[in-house]
Amino acid sequence: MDAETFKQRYIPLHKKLFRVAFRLLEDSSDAEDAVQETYVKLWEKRNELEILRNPESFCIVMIRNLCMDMLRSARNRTDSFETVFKDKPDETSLIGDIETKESLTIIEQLVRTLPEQQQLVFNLRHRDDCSLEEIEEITGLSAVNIRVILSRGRKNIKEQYNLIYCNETYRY
Amino acid sequence: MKTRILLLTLLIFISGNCLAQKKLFDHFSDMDGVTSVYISKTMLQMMPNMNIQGDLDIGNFAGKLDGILILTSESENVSKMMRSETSYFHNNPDYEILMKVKDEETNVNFYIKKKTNNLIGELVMLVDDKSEYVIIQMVGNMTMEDIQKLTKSMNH
Amino acid sequence: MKHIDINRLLNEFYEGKTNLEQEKELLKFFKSDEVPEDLLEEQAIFLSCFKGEENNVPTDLQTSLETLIDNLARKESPVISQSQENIVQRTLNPKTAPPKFKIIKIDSMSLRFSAIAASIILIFTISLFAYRYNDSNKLADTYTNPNDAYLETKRALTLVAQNLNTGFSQLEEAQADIGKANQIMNKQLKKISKR
Repeated sequence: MDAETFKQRYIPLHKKLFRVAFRLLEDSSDAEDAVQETYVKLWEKRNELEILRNPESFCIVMIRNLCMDMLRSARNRTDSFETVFKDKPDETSLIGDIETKESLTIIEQLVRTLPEQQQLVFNLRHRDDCSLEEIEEITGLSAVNIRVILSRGRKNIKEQYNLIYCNETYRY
Repeated sequence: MKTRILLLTLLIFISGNCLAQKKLFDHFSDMDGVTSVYISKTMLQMMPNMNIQGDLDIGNFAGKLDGILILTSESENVSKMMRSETSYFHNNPDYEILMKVKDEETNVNFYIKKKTNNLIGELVMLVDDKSEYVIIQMVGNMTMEDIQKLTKSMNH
Repeated sequence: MKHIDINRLLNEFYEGKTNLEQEKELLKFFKSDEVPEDLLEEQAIFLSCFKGEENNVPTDLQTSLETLIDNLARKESPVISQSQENIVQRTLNPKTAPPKFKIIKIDSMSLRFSAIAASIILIFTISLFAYRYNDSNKLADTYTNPNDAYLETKRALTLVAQNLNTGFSQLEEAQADIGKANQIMNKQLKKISKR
């Protein structure tokens, strides 16, 4: 495969890959580095990619693994994905605990009240436009699990939102 | 999982036709104080060529065997137990008594199990030495001639 | 979109069961003018919390990636890359050669099924063997070293042979005795018959 074909086929993925990396690394320049590195690897494996049934999926897994490696070496520990994104018991913090950073919108702050796992899945879905399969690949969670997490996250968001913008009529 | 199945298969192939010896083994192996030695056909085939003088016929004989089982008692009490248990051979219609030799302190009984009129599938030797009891069971395809040859080789 | 459908979709949404397309439909609905009063609150939530895709990708990333690929391609000498291509064509042409790499997506569902299937096969195999051979798998070679086995075999066979020998030699002696006795008897019989 020559450079032109490769670019045509795989460069369009860079937005999704960047978003995934940014979601995991939470830093724009780190995410850029991750994307660059991933593309180098993809170029090296370009012939094998062609034989895959789902090369896009592979790319996402690749960048996700790369990000996990980066996170692990940054922390200097060998935390598995599960420990890095551990789901704390289902508690959402009270409004009073929300940090009011100026740069964050209220919604962004709301999302940060969610437990880490719910936060990640929520963001992947609602801000990174990831499909269920993609979320599965990135988090390693099962589809059933992800649905439950999404459900809880969305309900939590709704609850928190209602608490902030409370109406005259009571809602439970 | 795969290694487990492979291991099982290997064990079964190694043990070869051990059904005949299985019963005897079961009978005695669970007893405390019994030393058991089992040599399989494969192991017999792997043994160095027994071409030393006098052993020539042992090598020939060993080649016809599917397995050798040797059970030895380790104490007098165990010997008693083994002695009583060997009525198994005496009462079993499959086993034919070949020879009984009584010699001062030692009692030796030979049993054979025939496959056909000329083929012997099993040769069992029970040696009762008062303090020590030994059972040697050889399973395979032997003829009476083979057994005779074996004794002749002792005369050298 | 009908009111009833929206409510149904909303319920599924909060159960996590909607796909991307359905969620887009919901958003589209909430962005429109057709939102009934009882759903106004929901509309507010949707438009602020669930609106979706953010474009925070750096704009120069694309061009830098394109340059990166061009550089990588140039680094490899054209001769090598060409011959590499040929080799690749020959060995990895999906039409002629079996694919070497195939990522079969393993989700936990298929993993579970494979695990269950594997366990069933294992149990079946073990029980089959166990049924046919009972405890025969207890019977294993005592010696792993053929030399040791040889010594023990020799010892055992020698013991057998010696004991058999004792028996046979006794038999021979007995036969000899009987022979002698026969001779004596014959002599006597002849003597008697001669009279």
